[in-house]
Amino acid sequence: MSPLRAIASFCTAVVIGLVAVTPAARADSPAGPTVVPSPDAAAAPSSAAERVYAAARPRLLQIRTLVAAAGRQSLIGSGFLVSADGLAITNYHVVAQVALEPALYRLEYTAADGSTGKLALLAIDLANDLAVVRLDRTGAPFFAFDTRTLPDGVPKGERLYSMGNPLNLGFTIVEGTHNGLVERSYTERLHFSGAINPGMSGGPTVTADGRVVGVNVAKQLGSDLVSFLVPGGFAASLLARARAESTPPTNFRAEVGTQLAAWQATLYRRLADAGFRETPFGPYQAPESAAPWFTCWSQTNSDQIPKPRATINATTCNSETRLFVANDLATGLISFTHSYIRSVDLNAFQFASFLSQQNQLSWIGGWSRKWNTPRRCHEDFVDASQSTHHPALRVGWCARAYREFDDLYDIWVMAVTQDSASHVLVSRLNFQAVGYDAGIALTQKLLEAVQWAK
Amino acid sequence: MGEVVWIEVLSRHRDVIARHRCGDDVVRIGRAYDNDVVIDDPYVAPHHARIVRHPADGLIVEDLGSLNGLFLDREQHRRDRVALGDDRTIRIGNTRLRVRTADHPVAPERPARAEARHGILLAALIAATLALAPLGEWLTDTAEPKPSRYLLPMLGLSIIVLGWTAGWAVLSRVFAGQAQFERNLAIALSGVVGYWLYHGVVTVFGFGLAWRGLAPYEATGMWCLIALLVFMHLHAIGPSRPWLKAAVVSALAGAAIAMNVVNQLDPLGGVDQTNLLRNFLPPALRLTGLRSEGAFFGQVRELKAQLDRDRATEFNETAAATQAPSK
Repeated sequence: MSPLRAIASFCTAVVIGLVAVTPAARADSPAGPTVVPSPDAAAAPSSAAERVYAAARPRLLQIRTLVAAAGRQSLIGSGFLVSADGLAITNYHVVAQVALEPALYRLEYTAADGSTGKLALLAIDLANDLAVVRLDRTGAPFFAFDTRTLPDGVPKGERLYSMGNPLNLGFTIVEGTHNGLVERSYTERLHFSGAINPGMSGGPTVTADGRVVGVNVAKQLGSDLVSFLVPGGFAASLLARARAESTPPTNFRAEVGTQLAAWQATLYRRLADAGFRETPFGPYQAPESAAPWFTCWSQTNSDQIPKPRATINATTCNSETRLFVANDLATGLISFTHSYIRSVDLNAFQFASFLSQQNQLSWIGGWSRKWNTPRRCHEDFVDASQSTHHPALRVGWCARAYREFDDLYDIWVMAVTQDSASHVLVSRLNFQAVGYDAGIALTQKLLEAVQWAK
Repeated sequence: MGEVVWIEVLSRHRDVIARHRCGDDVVRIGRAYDNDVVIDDPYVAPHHARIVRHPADGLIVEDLGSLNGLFLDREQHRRDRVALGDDRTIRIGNTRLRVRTADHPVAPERPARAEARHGILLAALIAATLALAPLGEWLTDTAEPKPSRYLLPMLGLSIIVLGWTAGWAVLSRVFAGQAQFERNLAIALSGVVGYWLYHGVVTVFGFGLAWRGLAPYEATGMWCLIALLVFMHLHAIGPSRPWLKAAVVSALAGAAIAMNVVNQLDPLGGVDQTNLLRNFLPPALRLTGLRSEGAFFGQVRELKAQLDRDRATEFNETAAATQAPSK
């Protein structure tokens, strides 16, 4: 099954913004008025981008996470001002270290004119990877949000300008085109065809009249100019929420836990709502999620040379739901793998050995002592359904708890049909960050759906 | 005296190295050539001792004024004279001597059949090894069938078994005077066959009863088997002090097993990560009934309490660690 993992990683958007270089850029400029910049008569801009950047420059920030004890940066990203009283938007993943370890890290900003100051974390939105921070100064010009409703409001192909400080090289403006909402994504993301690079995370992407359409968040590795934005509407509502709260939360670690629990509850409810469809595998049928935010890949070993002595036909469906929680913790994946394995000329014992070898490869990765407890497992022969139309199963169950998030667990289930010595269906389920009882209920439902094809 | 006595020179391990037949009244022992029993030991005097028959005490050995003296075996203080009843061994210099009279009882003749049986046993063990090794390979062979896949492990196994046997044979030759190659080979081969049988039983029960906990402790039985094997080899070298040998071997095996168990119980060792649904056998070898879905998930539910305990215990540890640097 291991080649599937290679494909899976290809399909995962990778978060940007994790660079650490010493700052160098220095410049100064006047503070612009409000939002819509107008061409100046004295020095007429030669391009739209020049005009947009000139207006945006005083509203841009570089946001740096410093190790408190050393006073040096450990992570840099971007941000932008959204109110006269010094509120700015950035990505959650830019400020995650401060949110999770406030004793070890602190935040600082650098404006385009070189001025620096302290930032206070006001609010986070884990699900949409957003955060609101407050500057230690007020009165600077700020961005307004584009109020056109998505996804139809901003047409595909509209020219957008993304800004930020990539790789600590200095503030930069990038032209690109808007390509609507990413299809089959659980989290709403705008597809921006432009070069977003590490360090630009949290920076604004604006229309030609300077209104914010989205927040730079990620790029697809191994591809060209495929970048992703958080729709500006989420930033606007987080800003409204931050303003409404009289006092910001003091313990963002607990806030992360609360938001993660709420996010996963919605995710698993939507998974159940979407329903499952029975997919045939040889003489068996097994359930796959009907939710549109699953990407499925198939794989076979039948074309291998030398001819395999047992054929494998596997389908893996992964949800596009990875959620960034910390630099060393991304969770929220739901995965279904069903493999139909049939002996070509192996006898019963050899076929069993073949299965053993396959399974030894299939337990993915180690575990982090920081976030998870060790796995606890159980296995048995199970009669998984009340109906008569189902094979006996050998089921293994492994779970580990999230140490800091109550009632969240990662669960692995593997079920192997036990009705034949020459062909089996191996079903693997993986639920990340799920409630224990919800995980059991879901597993029970899915195991009952592993049946002989009708 | 007239009566014949045998003077036996013994090795450190109390095996007879040389025997001297003496019929005189006085038997003189020393390094010089005018003795009845000549001993080539630089720590023995030219005229070291003599054996005489005492009317009351029977045979007596007397020190003839040597520098290094006369000792009873294993004793540390020298004696001038020692009565030689009760199969006593004496020590002069670095040499041990024993005197036996002609009426000393000997063990009855051993029937030749027993030796033949050993031969049959050895042949049976060799045949079992030669049959089981390729069988095991064949049952787990999932790749292209190639003769080398069968020959290579056989070759490796042969080298290991022969090396192990040769090692024990050399030890046996050094300490017991004879290599006993066949006997050591039989012990080694019974170890190999015993391991296969044991492994087979563990595998079948591990799968058939869904005892996931069995596999990590398979090594325990293996250590016991190795200990038994080593004991049998030691016993073959010399049958003396079996309890001491058994104790030493068990202590070593016990230490190995304890280390293995501690490793497995270590919460960070991750027993559970490695051995879930690892060993499959044909479904016909299921030895237990099917668990109902309710019962299975009931047991799965019990893991939750365990996980929550893990979370509680370990969280405190990290919480302390993360809070340490704060002011």
